Amino acid sequence: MSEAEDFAKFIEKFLGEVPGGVEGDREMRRRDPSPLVDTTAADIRPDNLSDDQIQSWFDYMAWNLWELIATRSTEGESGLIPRQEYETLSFVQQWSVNPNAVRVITDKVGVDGLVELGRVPRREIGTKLNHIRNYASSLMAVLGRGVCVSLDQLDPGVRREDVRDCIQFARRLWHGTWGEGPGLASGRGFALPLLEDDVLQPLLAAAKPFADEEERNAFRRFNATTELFGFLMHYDTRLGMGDTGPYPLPGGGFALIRDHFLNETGYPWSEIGEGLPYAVTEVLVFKPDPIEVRINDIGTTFTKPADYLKSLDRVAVFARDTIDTPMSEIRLVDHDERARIIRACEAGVLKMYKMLSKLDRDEKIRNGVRMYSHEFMRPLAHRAGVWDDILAAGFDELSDAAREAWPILSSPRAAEILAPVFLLGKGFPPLRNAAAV
Amino acid sequence: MKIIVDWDLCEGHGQCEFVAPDIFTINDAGDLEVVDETPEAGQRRNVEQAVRRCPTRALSIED
Repeated sequence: MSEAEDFAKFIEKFLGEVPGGVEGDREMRRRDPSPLVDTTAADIRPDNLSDDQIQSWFDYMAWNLWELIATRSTEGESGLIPRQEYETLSFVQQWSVNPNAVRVITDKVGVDGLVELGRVPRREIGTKLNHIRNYASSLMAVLGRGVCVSLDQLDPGVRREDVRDCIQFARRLWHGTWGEGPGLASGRGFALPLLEDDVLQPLLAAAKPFADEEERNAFRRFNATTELFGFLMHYDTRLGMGDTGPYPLPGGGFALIRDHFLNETGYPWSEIGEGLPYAVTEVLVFKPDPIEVRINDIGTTFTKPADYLKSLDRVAVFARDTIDTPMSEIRLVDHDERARIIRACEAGVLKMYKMLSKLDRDEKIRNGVRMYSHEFMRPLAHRAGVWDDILAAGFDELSDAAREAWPILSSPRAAEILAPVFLLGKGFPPLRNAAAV
Repeated sequence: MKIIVDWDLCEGHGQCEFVAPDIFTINDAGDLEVVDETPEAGQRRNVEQAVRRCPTRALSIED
C-alpha cells in the first residue's frame, strides 16, 4: 500500500477501523457500552476516577476528535494567521494552566454549581457558556498532555490528578447541559437541540418572513458578514460562532439558532468590535424541504443539500449587548441596525487585515495562544466570579512547557507531531499507573 | 488551474478573500469577484485553502 493510500485509510476510518457519524458512535459503544463520556447524577460527584474510567474517556474522545478533523470541521491553514501553530501551542499552555483553573472554579461553585453552569446553554442565547466550550474546556488541556508526550516532554503517568480533574470538570458541565446519558453531540445523533421550550418559543415567534428578495439577500449578507467578522475577532477560529438545533417544528421544517460573537474585549485587536453588540443571535426557520442536518460538538452545521439557506423561510435577529447583559434584556435587531452592523463588521474586517499585516509571525502566535487559552476558560470563570483570580495566578504567563515546545510547534515539523495526535489517537496516551488515585 | 464558482451556492462569506486576497475579493455590494480565474501554479495552495474554507462549498478547481 502506498503512503497516500495508507493515509487515506486513516482519514476514511478512525485507526482504519471506525467510521464517522452515528455509525461510528454505535461502533465505539459496541466496544465500550458505558463510555465515561456518558454521565449520571451519581458518577459526576466523586473527585476520583479509576484508570479504566479515564481510559474509557480517552478512547471515545480520540474517535470524537478524529471525527471532527476528518469531516472537515475545521478550516485548516491560513496564510495570514498561523492558526495551527498557535492552537497546538495553546494546547500545551492549557495543559499547564487549565487544571488549576478548573480547580479554582470547582472550589468556588462546587459540583452543583458546575451543573448549573452547564445548564446555561439550555436557558440562554448569545452566551459563550455554550456546548462548544463545555466540550473543549478539558479536551484542549488533555490534548496538550498528548502533545507533550509526543514531544517527549512528559511521561504519560505523571500529573494524573490534573487529567482526572479536567475530565470530571467537563463531565459535570455536560451533565448540566444534557442530563443523564451521552454528554456529547456525537453521542446524541449529532444534534444540539439544547434550548428549553419556554426559551425557544418566543424566539421562534419573533421570526418573520422576508418581504421580498432584496430583504432575503440583505439577511444572507448579514449572516455572511457577521460570520466572517466573528472568525477574525477570534483569530480565525469557529469560536466566534455556534449553532444549536435542529429544533423540529410542528407541521414540518426546523429551526437553527445561530450565535455570532462580535465584540469580545480583552484582546489587543478588540477595538475592531467597538460599537457592536457582544453577540448577535439569528433565529433561522426553514421550510419543510428535504434537508438532512448534522451539528457536531463544536456547533458546526452540515447539511445535505449544502445550499440549505435556499429553504430559509423566516428569520429574527437578537442582540446581547455585553457579556453581562441578562437574558431579560436580549433585544430584537431591526433592519436598520442590521445594515449598520454589516457596515461596522466590514470596516472591522479591513482594520483587522491591516493590524495583522503589521505583526510578525511570533507576535501572531503569541496573540493566538492567549486568545485560544482564554476562550475556553474565561466565560466559565467569569460567570463563576473567579476569572480575575485565575489571571492573577499566572494564567497568561507562557509556561515552561509551551516555551520548550515553541521551536518545534511553530515550525513545519509540527505536522509530524500533530497528524498522529489528531488522527491516530496519540492525543490520549494511556496512563501507566493501574491503581486509582 | 481554473477556478469554478457555483454562484447558486456563493453567499459572499469572504473566507476565500481572507486566504487568497489576490484571487478573490468581496465587493462593496457583498458579492464575490474572482480577480483571476486562472491563477498561476504558485497560487494553488491558497486557492485550495479557499476551496476548503468556503462554508457553502461554492468553489472548486478545474485542472
